[in-house]
Amino acid sequence: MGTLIKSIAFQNFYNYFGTLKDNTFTFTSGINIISADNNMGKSKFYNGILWILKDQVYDSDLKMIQSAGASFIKMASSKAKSMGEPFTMAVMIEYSNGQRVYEVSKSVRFNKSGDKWEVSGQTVDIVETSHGSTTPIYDTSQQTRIIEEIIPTQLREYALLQGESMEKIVDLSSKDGLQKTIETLADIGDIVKIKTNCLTLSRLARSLYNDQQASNTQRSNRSKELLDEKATLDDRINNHEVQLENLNNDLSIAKETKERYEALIENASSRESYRSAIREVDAEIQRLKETKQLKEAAITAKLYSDRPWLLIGHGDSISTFVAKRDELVTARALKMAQKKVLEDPSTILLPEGSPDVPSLRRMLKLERCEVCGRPAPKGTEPWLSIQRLIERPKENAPKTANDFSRFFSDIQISAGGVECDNNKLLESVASYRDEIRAINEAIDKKREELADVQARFINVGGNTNDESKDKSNLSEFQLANRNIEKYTAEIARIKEAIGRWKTRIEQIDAELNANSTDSSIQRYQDFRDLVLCVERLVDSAKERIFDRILDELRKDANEKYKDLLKGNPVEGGTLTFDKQSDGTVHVSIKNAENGELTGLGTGFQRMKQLSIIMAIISTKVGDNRFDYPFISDAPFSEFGDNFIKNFFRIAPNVFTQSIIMVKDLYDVDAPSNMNPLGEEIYNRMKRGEIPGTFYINYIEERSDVTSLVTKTKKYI
Amino acid sequence: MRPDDILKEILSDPELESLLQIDRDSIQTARMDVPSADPNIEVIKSVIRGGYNGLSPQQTFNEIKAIKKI
Repeated sequence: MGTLIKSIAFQNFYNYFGTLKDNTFTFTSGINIISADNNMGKSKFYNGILWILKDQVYDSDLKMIQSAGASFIKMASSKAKSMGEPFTMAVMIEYSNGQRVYEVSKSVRFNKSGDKWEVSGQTVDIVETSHGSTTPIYDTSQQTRIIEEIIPTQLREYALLQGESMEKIVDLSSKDGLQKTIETLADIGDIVKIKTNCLTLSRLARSLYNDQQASNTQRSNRSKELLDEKATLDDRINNHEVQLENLNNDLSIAKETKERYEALIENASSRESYRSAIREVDAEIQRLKETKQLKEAAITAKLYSDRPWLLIGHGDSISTFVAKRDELVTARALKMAQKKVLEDPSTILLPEGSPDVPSLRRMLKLERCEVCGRPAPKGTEPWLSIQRLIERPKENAPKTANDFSRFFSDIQISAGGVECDNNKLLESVASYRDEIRAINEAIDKKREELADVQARFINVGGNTNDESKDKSNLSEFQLANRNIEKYTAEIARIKEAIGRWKTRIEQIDAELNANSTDSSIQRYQDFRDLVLCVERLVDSAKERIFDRILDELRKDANEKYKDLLKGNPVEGGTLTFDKQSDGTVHVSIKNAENGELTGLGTGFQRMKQLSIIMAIISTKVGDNRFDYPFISDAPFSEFGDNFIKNFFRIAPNVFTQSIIMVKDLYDVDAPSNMNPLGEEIYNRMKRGEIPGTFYINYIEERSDVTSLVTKTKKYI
Repeated sequence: MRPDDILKEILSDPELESLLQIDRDSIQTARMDVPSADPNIEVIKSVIRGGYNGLSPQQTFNEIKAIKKI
């Protein structure tokens, strides 16, 4: 049992322009990777498989599954359409079931009529190859069976999945989900059918007994009363059993709803606390930034306010300047004096230390030269010489303003201050800079803290726009809870009433049979009880098989889960599968103390789901192995490198064949179009450590999204 | 599941003997294609066959009535 897809080919299908031969992917057992960036044909590839298997495609504009028939125009290659000529769009899957090989293709023909395209009806072609001979299959029911064989309907939910909708696909609490899948895995479809028949058989046996009883009973008023009462009670039981069935269904739905919203609610409170933590850390970062700005402004103020900050560090230049200035002034005075003497020889040049005017006047009065100590009587040459000295022409100071002197003096004054404060200022600036450095460190730390909180926030499904969604989730959760209470109470009430009515019927039977004239009634009663027993036996047989499969799944899924988590620092807990009274299976993650582990991020939730998918796909029941291809588009969204590596390590042991469309290994700028992780996986495949094939899609010519043409390189 | 597997599973019920008073020998030798001496086993087989072959419950009911001579 099982199938292996040998190839998939596309003709003028979305980006895959050209013939089937141009766009053929051949596959082997192991992992078959189609690595591509966005818009390079991953989802289109997946849609090809959906078209063949389910006559559906995923419309990425509408974000929903559509019937293929309604989407043919969209599915056709834009490039083929742009050429204006009639063309065929087709997808072909070639698979083997171990004995025969089938080529299954679906195609439609496009013809241009005016501005519009006319699309022919869909054609299904199937060719069977066995022992070298090929046979076309025309019978539609046979065609359906052959398509069904690629991946059986009940397993498609698990074997054929899109990463983004994994939560919806792996609806673990759905009565029609895991329960039906386990029934398929256990191949107990027939026993379920037998069980349903048994319900009718029991009713028929009861009815037969009642009829017999009525015909055998003495025609007394009392007997009539009892038979009427019994008939009424039987009717009530029948009606209430139907009600019970409906209520059980309603309860299942309410439980599913509760489960779905419970996870969201649990995360909602986590999200709320993360939201407020993000706000606090953000505010703290803002405050630190403001403090930093103030410190920076303080440094600027120190440097610019009344301080010629350009002179900082030029203290030596000031003393050099003073010496040079003195030298300049002396040299200038001497030069001026020499010039005077040359112009007027009568110019008197007084040597340094010459007496001043009051001293000269005193010398005239005393008639004595105080310089040489000789007498200088009035009217004599020495006296007249002293008088000439007093009366010598007095020149004003040169009119040329000593701008430099003033300028340099100003600088000297300022620079002197700076020089005095220089060390202090530098110390002060250094201290500010230390403070700014500390603030920067604090900001970096806060940013790390913010990134951490944001990561946790995202891990619990947070985004910035979901505050109102959390509120509506809460009200849905509360409504589901109220419904569960209501239905549970109603079910208990009905069960209690049915029990009471059955007891009363037993009493009536006993009374009627005691008065019966015909002992054969006992045979009818035994027959009725026998059929009831068989019903119970069939039911418990079905439950035992179901439980065994559930146990297998529990064990297998946990092994896969642990394998997928390998190397992850976070304790992931244990997957538990609890069968509910209504037949549904509740899957949760429990910690070592057996408490439910909540708050795990989307990545973990998806790992839980993927582990279960892996367990379902690989579960062996008796001699049966459900050996179908696992086909997934973007299974790794939300996962880190560690998980992806673990997946590639485990997958070959789980799936005989998997076909994975993935962008996490792609790098548009790398010559090989592989990122380091892609290179690593590719090298491991090349060394034969991972069996399978490795394709890379690329776009040869840049163009509008609608006219893209995907090309493919096969690396392995 | 094949009818024989279903029969085997039903007959492996721990409560079978007390519910239907079927003797151990009949349980151990029961097979779909071999008539059993125990009519209750024949009833069970008829129910399995009916479900497996898609017979209507009424047809199966008539068959088990015939087995039990009702």
